Amino acid sequence: MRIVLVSLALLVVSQAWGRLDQDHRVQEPAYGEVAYLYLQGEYFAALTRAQMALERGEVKHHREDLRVLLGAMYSAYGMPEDAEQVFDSLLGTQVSDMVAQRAWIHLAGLFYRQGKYTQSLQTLNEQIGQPPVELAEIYYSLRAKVLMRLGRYAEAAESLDAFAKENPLNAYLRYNLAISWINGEQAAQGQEWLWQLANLPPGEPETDAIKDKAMLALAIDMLRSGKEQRALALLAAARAEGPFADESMMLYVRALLMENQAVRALPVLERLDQFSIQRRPVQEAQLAIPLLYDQLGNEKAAKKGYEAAIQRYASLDMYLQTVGENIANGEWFAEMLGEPQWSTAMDPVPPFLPKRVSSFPTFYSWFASAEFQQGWNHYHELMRQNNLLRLWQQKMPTLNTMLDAQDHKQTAMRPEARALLETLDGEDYQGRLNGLSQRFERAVSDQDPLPFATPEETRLWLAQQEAQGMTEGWGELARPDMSAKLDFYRGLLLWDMQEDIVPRQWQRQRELQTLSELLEENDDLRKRVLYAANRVDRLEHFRKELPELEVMLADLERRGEQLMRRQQYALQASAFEQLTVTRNRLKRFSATAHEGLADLVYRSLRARRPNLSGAVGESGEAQSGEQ
Amino acid sequence: MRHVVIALLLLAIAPLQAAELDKDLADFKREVLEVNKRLLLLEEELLFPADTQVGIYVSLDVGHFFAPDSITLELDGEVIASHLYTEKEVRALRNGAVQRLAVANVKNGGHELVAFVTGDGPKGTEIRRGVNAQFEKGHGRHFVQLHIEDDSAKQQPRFRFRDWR
Repeated sequence: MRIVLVSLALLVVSQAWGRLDQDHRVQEPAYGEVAYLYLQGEYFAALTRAQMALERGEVKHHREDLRVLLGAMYSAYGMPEDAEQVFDSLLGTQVSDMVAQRAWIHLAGLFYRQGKYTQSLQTLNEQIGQPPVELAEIYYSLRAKVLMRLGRYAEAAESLDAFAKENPLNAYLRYNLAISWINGEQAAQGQEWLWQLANLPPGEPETDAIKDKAMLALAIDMLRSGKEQRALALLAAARAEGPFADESMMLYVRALLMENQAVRALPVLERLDQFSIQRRPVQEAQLAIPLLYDQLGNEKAAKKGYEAAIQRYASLDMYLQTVGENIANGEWFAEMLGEPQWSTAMDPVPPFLPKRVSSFPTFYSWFASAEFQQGWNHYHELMRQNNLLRLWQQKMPTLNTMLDAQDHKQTAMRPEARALLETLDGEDYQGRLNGLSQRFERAVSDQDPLPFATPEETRLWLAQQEAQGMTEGWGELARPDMSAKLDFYRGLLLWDMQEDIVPRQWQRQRELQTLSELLEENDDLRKRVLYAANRVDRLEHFRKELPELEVMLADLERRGEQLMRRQQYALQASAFEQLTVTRNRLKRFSATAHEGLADLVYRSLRARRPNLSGAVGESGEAQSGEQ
Repeated sequence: MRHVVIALLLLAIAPLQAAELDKDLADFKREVLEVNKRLLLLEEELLFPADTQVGIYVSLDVGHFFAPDSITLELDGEVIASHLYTEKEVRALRNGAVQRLAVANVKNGGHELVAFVTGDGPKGTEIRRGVNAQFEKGHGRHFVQLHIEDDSAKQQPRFRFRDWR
């Protein structure tokens, strides 16, 4: 049954997400990462990652999707108040239809888990109506479960038909619905569905378990309604192994006895007798065997059978008394717990099953119940969380060391960074660049080619200016053609420089642009250095936070241990209740065996002394005479 | 006698406990989640500051032609992560989830990533593939995605790195 529950949980989880064969939709890594953990059922890790993503603002596009996921995870992780808060806040804001519909379905699921069936159905009907294709399966399965709880079986059946028949959840729900019908007013329909389930092709363990359960339920129904022959035919085909083998065999025996086929029933009972006496059908078999021998006229074997039954009941009762003492002193729980695989709440869930201790068969059915599974998983989860808390406590010195290292680095780097910033401030790069830009603008507007001259042109220009100055200084002594030549060279140089003035200006403009970009980058880096150099508050915040977290860890660990003890006591109390029920049953069985034995002895005595019946109870004299 | 008294006490307090236990468990979980979140944020801040952090993610779209078995990831010639996939993990990837394969610290500038991927291809054939890419680390956190997608025309998987910022 546990396998079935686990499979169903996984199935429901995948349904809540469900994307197979659709385009890739994840656009932000944080959201995809949360989904990765969620789809593997690692709720604690997924919840932590989701909270981190929301706090750091890592999701924008998927923010609402993530909140729906968060609510669904709170609900699945046993935090209903948090889930309701998330859904209420989500549905109170403007969100897309798809997000809203998913939120409403999860909210309806939460109501279902809380036992608020009417509210759940109302939410589904009023807020969803016709679900979109991608939500159809989760919607209809939830609706079917709610309707069954409300006893509206026909509508539940319609909802079940709306999603895939090969789905194991479908078979599980159909079984529940069939049982409800058989116990209600539509027995024929219930039987029909049970037949369908019993005839499913064998396969996975959960399918086989459902098949076995369906066959058992059918057989019980047939025996109840006096169809012993059909029950016999059905039970003859039941599996002699598997979780329901002993119950099937006992039912088979009952059916045979009802059909007066005691000879055929005896080997079945003897085979059943090989199972553990802690199982109820085997306890019943202890009574049935002598009864059968008695029916077959074998009084000796019947007497031996009763005596064996009384003796086995007595020794089982003594054993259960010891188990009870062990439950009370905690030994039983420790033995059942064994050495669990070490894990933390952040790790994948390791297998966590009760150990097959000697008393295992006594609690077999209880172990398979939802009540036990829930308590046992809570205990496991608490243990894992306490491991996580201890792990963080062990990490605390390392975190402090890392913080010291950062502090040290900051202390060493800060003066260096501040000195660099001061140097940069003194350089006034921006002012210099502005000056260069102004000069460029002026040269362009004046059409002055000189600022754009090559070094060679500048050299020639300066030489020409110098020669011209000198020529002018000579006055009349200068040759007249010299001034004309110099003017010609000047004109030629200017012509050369102005010929490609536009590409030259453009080149300079690009250089100025590059400088401006470099300065922007520099400014960005300066800001970051400035921020880092003055980022004392961050380290101070960490310094304050770490001791605070250390105290919280210690407090939580203490509370976790208390909760583990409380969960353990709750489980022990339930186990003790189971034990009490079994011991009371044993007392009844033992009394019946004693009665049977007494009756047998009495009949035997009466057969040997026919006048005994008249003597007993008639007069004191007669009795004393016998003595 | 003492054990009997303890057992009776257990039975008496059980219903009272059950009523409060669920609520106390939820409160406890809420507080553990809170403290865990704060510690993880702090640890990440100390180990992988945003300015040097690079995260490498794996996604599978849709996985008709490939189911990953293992991935080994190298960053600038150094192995930084190796992962063997479970059935559950492959199923989660196929359903659109994204796996954070590794987080590392790198300086600003160019870096090289190499991934060696093995897995099952179409009709159960074994696929071994190497894929590499360069990326430019700038300011702030940087995400790189190893995207495995179906190439319907070739009926083969296609592997590529892409920046995810």
